[in-house]
Amino acid sequence: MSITLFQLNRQLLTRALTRTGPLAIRQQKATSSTVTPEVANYRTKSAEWVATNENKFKRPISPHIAIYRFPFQVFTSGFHRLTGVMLNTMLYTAGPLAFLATGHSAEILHYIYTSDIPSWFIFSVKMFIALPFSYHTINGIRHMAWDTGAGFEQYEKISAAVILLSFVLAAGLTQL
Amino acid sequence: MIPTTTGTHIQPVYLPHPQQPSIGLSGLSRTDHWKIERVIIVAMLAIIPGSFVFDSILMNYFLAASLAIHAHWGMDTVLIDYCPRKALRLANAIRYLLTVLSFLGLCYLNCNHMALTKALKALWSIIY
Repeated sequence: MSITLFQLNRQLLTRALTRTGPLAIRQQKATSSTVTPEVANYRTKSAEWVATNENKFKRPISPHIAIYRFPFQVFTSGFHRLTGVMLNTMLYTAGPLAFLATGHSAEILHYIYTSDIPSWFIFSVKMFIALPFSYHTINGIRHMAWDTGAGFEQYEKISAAVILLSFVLAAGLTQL
Repeated sequence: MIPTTTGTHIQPVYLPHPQQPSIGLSGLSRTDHWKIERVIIVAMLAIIPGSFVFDSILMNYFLAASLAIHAHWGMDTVLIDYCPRKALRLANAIRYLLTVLSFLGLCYLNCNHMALTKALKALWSIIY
């Protein structure tokens, strides 16, 4: 376990220093005129150093992840992103598929109404849409509160309230 | 305030602030982009329930636009964090394509068939 955490730590540091996404590439291009050559040289040298010496040092990097108490925010923030990706996947599949709509929606709906789909399946489909939506919305409101600088105290209680509220809202949405 | 020390060999080093880079084709800085993102998120809190209540074509266009742009910017962060660097350019192109396609698809639904909110309401009316 500890060895994998060492590797994770090293990977995180490497990634942070050598990160070159599309935005980072543009950033480098935009700032190349303003950054002094010494600073630019230092940046490239340090990135190269980390990239080349990544596997030479098999020692932990301080401060180590394992010494911290596991924060609850990891779950709430992670689930915020996960639910966002789920909703995004729904949009990115439903949106392009909308071009296949032929105007026979009434007949399709009638077919669904008359067929005996089990109730638990319909409920779970509704929950699959409603629960990510409700959690992402309610936790998003909390993120907006964080952006204003409010709501950092008692985050565990508020997180529990957010999770509970999102389940209640999702269950309510399925009953509409 | 940055604490300064005098009389020691340790002195703070001030690096020049890099110019705020613009992102994408918009020419907006990061901070401007962030502010616009917040405005859209707050607007979405009103647009999503409002579009289901009023159920009009105009509200559905607002809904489609806000959903598409919020999804697009959310996916930007996700790709930068998790996508392998080699695949980033391709993934970014696919992201742009999917965003445009999904927005146009929702507009197509609005123009030709039932709007998104009506379709969701019809799906939701399947009582278990």
